[in-house]
Amino acid sequence: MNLTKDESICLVLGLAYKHEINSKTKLNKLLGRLNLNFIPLDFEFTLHKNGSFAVELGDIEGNELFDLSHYDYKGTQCTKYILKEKGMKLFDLVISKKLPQILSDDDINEIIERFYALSKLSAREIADNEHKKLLVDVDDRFILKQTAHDLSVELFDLYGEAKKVDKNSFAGIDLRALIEYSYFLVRYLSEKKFKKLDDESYDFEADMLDYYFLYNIAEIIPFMNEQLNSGHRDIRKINKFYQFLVHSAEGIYPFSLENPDLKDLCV
Amino acid sequence: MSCGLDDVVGFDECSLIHLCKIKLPKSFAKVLNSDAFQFKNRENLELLVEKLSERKVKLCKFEPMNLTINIQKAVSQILDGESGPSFLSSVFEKTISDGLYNSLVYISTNFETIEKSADISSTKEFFKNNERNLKKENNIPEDDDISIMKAFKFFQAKGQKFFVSEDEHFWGYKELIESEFKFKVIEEWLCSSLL
Repeated sequence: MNLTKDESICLVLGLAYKHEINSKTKLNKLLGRLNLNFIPLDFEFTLHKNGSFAVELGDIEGNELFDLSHYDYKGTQCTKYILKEKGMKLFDLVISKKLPQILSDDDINEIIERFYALSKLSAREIADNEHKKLLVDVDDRFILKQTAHDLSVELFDLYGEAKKVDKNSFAGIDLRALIEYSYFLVRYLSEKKFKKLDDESYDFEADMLDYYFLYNIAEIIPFMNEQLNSGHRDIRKINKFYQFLVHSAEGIYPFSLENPDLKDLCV
Repeated sequence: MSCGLDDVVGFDECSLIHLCKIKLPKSFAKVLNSDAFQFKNRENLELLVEKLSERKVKLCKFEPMNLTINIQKAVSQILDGESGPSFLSSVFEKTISDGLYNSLVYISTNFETIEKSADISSTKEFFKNNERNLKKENNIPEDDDISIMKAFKFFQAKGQKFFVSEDEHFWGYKELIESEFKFKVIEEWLCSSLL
């Protein structure tokens, strides 16, 4: 399950104060934040040479779901995005039908509150210390590489334990799959993607999902550990994390089940 | 022995699972040389369901279902046959398991429900007294099998009743089941005989 581009934009607009967002940058930032809530989007997030990153919105135009309104702010042309009635219906569908497939009621309520509050901030305030947190900055290359390596080692142990999990429940099958996928994804980042990180010529047109995935997997390792040792497995939460890793930018991100050559990336 | 308007055809849960076709993601499709996975009797089962539906024959499933156990059995069948990929095997297993579950939920909406019988003690005794030597399974049918047999026996039908299954606990006792429970067992791989 992932959210289409229209669903993602309507979700963010629907959660926003007055159901509008007053700049493309702010829309970018809020869409990016959905990744930190483990919501899989059908978007590519690109890292640019000056270290900023953005979702690939393209030349977004107004449509039946939302309007674009241009205005002048201190001599600068800006664009406001306003949700329309049809967009509101799509937003309601996402909240009531799609998100409950992966999120609990508490998760959804938390997102509603958080994004409403975020929408009142400036783009800069929303971004906060995101670069630092995700280890995007050039100065953090060494830490990024080290983090990927450390996670790889940690996940190696979990992967070994996961093989002992019984398969006679859906929760057991799901937990094994989550740990396995996390392990090989981090190995891909550590052994392939970030291998040339030290090179001057390292391509900074990188995929932001590399950073989101690394950060999020680090966040969920304690959960995976706890689930391995628990008699009661939280199948919904396991599935939430799995859906995010597997279905984000499905078919676009290199480490994807929809990449026919994925086998070559599993080191 | 073809089926007509007043006849009823019941399906074992495993046979419903064998009706499922699972679309594989491209990474697995490339390695397995196929973009979908299906069980060997699937096409015959699908044709059967299609033709019986056209004839307005009543198609039935039995509830409550044992989805976890039966899907897991089906996944094990697939993996024991070594038809899985050599990488991300747990992910592959989840892909198949999820695909079967979602497919089964959709398919089974086209089948009428018969509630399995709860009180099976006397029927169980009957099988113990008429035990046969089976080749692949334990000799006595499982409790779940017996609950299906008893439920189907008492299900009202104007015409004949048939039950499709690949489980030896049914076809291994077919003559006994026909005389005692008043329905005919059709081996899944011979299901076309109902057309």
